[in-house]
Amino acid sequence: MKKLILFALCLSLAAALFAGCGGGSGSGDERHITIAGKTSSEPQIMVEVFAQLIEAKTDITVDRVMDLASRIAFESTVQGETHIYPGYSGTLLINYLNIDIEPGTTAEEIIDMARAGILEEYDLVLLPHVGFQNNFGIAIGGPFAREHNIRTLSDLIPFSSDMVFGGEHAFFDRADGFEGMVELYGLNFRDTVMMDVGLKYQSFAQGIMDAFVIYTTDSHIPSHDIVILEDDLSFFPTYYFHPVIRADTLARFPEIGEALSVLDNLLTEDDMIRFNHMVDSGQASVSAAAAQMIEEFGLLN
Amino acid sequence: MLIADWSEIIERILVHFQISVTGVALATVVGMIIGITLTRFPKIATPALSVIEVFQTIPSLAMLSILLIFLGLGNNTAIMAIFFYSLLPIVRNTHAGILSVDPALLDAGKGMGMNSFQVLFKVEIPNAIPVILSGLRISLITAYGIVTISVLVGGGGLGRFVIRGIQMQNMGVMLTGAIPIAAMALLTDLLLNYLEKRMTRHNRSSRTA
Repeated sequence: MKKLILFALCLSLAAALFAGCGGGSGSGDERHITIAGKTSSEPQIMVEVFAQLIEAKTDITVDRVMDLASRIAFESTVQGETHIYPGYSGTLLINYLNIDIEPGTTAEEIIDMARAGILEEYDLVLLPHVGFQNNFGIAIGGPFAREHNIRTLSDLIPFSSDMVFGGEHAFFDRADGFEGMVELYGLNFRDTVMMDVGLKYQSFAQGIMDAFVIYTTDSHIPSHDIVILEDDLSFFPTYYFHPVIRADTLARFPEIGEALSVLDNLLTEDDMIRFNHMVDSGQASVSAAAAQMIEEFGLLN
Repeated sequence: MLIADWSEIIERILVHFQISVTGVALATVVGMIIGITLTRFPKIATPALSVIEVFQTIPSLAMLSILLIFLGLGNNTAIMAIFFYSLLPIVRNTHAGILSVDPALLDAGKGMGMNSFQVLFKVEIPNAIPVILSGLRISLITAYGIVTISVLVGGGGLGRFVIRGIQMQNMGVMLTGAIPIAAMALLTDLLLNYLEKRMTRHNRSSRTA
């Protein structure tokens, strides 16, 4: 009996080891790239669109590695394990180039700085953005906003001392986040709550907070009666979405730049909300939503 | 529930299991060797155990990020993380299991003319097996939970559904990940508990024989 157990353990060890060793992408593959995907729906949809466009328009084979933690997705592209990364102009500047963005900086200036910076520091090329902006927004309840005629963040100042503000942990850590916002506007919230980014809308609906930070292309926006306040002092930087590609990959496969050019300035915020909603509600998988975007906008014509 | 079809769900269950088992299996082999060695050198046992204990305190995402530097994206990084987290239970239980062998049995073995290797393989290890199995059980069940975040470093497994489900705020998707993990944990617990009891009874009966 003992020998049998020992033998079985050795066998399963061997099996597990050999099975687990099946990793490692073909480095001998000549015309092959890997695209990095993050965890939320929007970059996954767009990255899947990149992949399907490249596969359809070129002879390059594409792997996707989805669900990567944000920083890991970037680092792996810098190091060459992945070749294309879903980049937000503001994030590149603040998180990876460590450049603080003064309020009032224009979107074009942000893009120019990001493009120059990632090329010089990381040998990455910022391709043209795909149209929509996905910025931070501050949301409050619809009824409350209408009752007190609150439309901008400045309008909120007199009410803030009675309100609880909520957001994800990262929002409170970043330079373009909570601290800067309350300082510039002179907001003085009664209390703050921090939570996982996926729990915000639910928590707001439960009354845990009165105001919270959202992303302007969140799929959940249409499902809640909220008002997104205008950033009248232009505190928040603008975030356009760009394919970011390694310089050496683009040099080797210039056809990728052409394949993705159909996306230039293509989508509106409402388009992106719609596709995000398609995926988040479970109506479509990421690849189905991407295929639908390609068909709807005639990107293969 | 359009997150995935059945073939992907099953594939992810298998990969989730595979990563966990591989890591624990490696830890079992290495851990038993370390545990046995520590029984032969009692002076370094306590400091050695303390060093291995440090691995347990490293948060799993931090561990994965560090291993990522050496092993890159993919399952191997997750396997190595599981290896480090499983070492302590195995080493500690091997060590304790062997030290708990009835000295009378050791004497009996030597009296029968066994050399120390024979005593190890015929008396000490068999007696320690139930305790080692217990460590293995704990490691494996813990592994199922840790492997959930292997997707964050490009690995496979059921974590995709859990993490995407949270992102999408879609309970159905989250459960597609969470339920198989819970089921695996339950089955593993039942199976290994049963094995432990059988081994304990076996040892006991062979002792009285």
